Amino acid sequence: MLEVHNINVRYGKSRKQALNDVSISVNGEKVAIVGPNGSGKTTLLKAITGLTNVYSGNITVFGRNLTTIMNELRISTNLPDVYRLLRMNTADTIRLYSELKMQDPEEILGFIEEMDLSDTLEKMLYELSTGQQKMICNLMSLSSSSKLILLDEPFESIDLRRRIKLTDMLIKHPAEIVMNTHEFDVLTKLKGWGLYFIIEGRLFGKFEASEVKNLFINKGVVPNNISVMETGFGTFSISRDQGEVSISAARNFNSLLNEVT
Amino acid sequence: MIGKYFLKSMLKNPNLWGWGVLFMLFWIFMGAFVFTSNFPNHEIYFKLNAAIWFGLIGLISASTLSTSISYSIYYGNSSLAYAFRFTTLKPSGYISGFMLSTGIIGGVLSGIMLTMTFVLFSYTSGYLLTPSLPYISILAGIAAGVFMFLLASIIIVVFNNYLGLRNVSFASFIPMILTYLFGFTQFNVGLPSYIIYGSPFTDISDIFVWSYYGHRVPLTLEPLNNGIHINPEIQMVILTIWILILMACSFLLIRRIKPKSIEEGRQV
Repeated sequence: MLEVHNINVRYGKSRKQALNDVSISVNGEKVAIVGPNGSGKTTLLKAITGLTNVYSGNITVFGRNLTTIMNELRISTNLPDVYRLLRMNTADTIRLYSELKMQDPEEILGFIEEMDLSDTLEKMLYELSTGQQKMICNLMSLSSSSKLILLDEPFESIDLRRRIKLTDMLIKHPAEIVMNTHEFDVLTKLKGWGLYFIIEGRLFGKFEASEVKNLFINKGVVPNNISVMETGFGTFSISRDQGEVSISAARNFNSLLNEVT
Repeated sequence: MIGKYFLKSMLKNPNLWGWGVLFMLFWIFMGAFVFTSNFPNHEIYFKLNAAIWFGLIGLISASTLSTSISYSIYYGNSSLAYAFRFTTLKPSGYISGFMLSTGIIGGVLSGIMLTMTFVLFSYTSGYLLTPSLPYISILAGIAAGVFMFLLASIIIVVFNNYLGLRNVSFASFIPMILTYLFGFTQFNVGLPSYIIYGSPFTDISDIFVWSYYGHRVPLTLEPLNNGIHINPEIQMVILTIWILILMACSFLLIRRIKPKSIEEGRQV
């Protein structure tokens, strides 16, 4: 159970606003957050995991304020930054984190075998390809003991065969999931998942992920819109069943914005 | 629990074996074969000379641990911040695990240096220069390993949290710089007694020397001199106090470690 209330995150000396009054509530559900590169998707997950400073607002996880949380084992993530405690090979990294999370390492090792990644076990994490690293971090976050899983671009650099298997695992996993992506092709398969759009650090939604094929994006505000997005490069509105550009027809959010502008 | 993984990764670390062992063995070799000449033909001169080399090399060897530890904490800053929140890892568990494993490594390193000092210096002197208190040498090695971990962890977290990571390379070498500074000045320049007793670096080095030599070390390094001798019991007490103070500081700082991008440490 995750509650994010009006959080603001600012970066660098210029205090650039990376997240702008973002609020989201996840209670017994799975949600996908879709946005272009640099829109604040990863920053939101980093804020929830305490890996970036929150300027204002508050975050509670399973009813506990993030600032006071210690030893909360029900959350997991695929953010690679969290798996650098020591310089170890993949097998030892899995064993250490399983011990620290009080999980059975055999479960994750089973996932690794299922995904035909056993040859990565004796290699250091930095020796793996981008896709292999991403997949190892994905699988380490998918233990059955996790109750809230935070996934940052889990399909990035993953081949089609493993993408299909991973999608299946995510759909079947009983935990709450917050998943960032900038790709649309997977969304139609996520029946029952919530869907948010994030642009310039502002969150818009919530929609239904599987109805993405019925959603359209329009420049300006159109009648019968279901959401209006004010951005630095113009005002857009989302409409259902008809509109300027079909969201599902776009490959990803960047190409979608290019098309509509 | 984390200590055993750290120990395993350190024992597989080629830098530790290269700089902490092979490079130090090179200097013991140089000490025994090149820098030991024109000594009065007395066993006690050769033994004190071997003990001083062991003291200095034992200290420097332990200090090589600090660089690896600094980088381990620097690269793991986000992981640590995450682990304290979302795993069973506690700051006390992290510090005690690392203290245990760096203590073991420090003990192993001092054992290797002790053995090689005995073999090479005995060979060149023609006397059997057996270390007098080898168990003290190992204990001093354990204390040196623990001390270097605590010092390195404090320095790197201060840079990480408050001073910025631009100077992380310099920060990782501070314990080694201090080691060379105190180690060499004591045996080459001569230091006032309050520094010899007050500095944990000279304490470690002198305890090493005493453990090999078997007698209190003369301040002048002249074995037949009846002048002032260094009291190793006082040095052991002061070193223990240093370790306890650093342990408290390390605990307070590590639990507040801030996640920072490692890219911040890029030099150019």
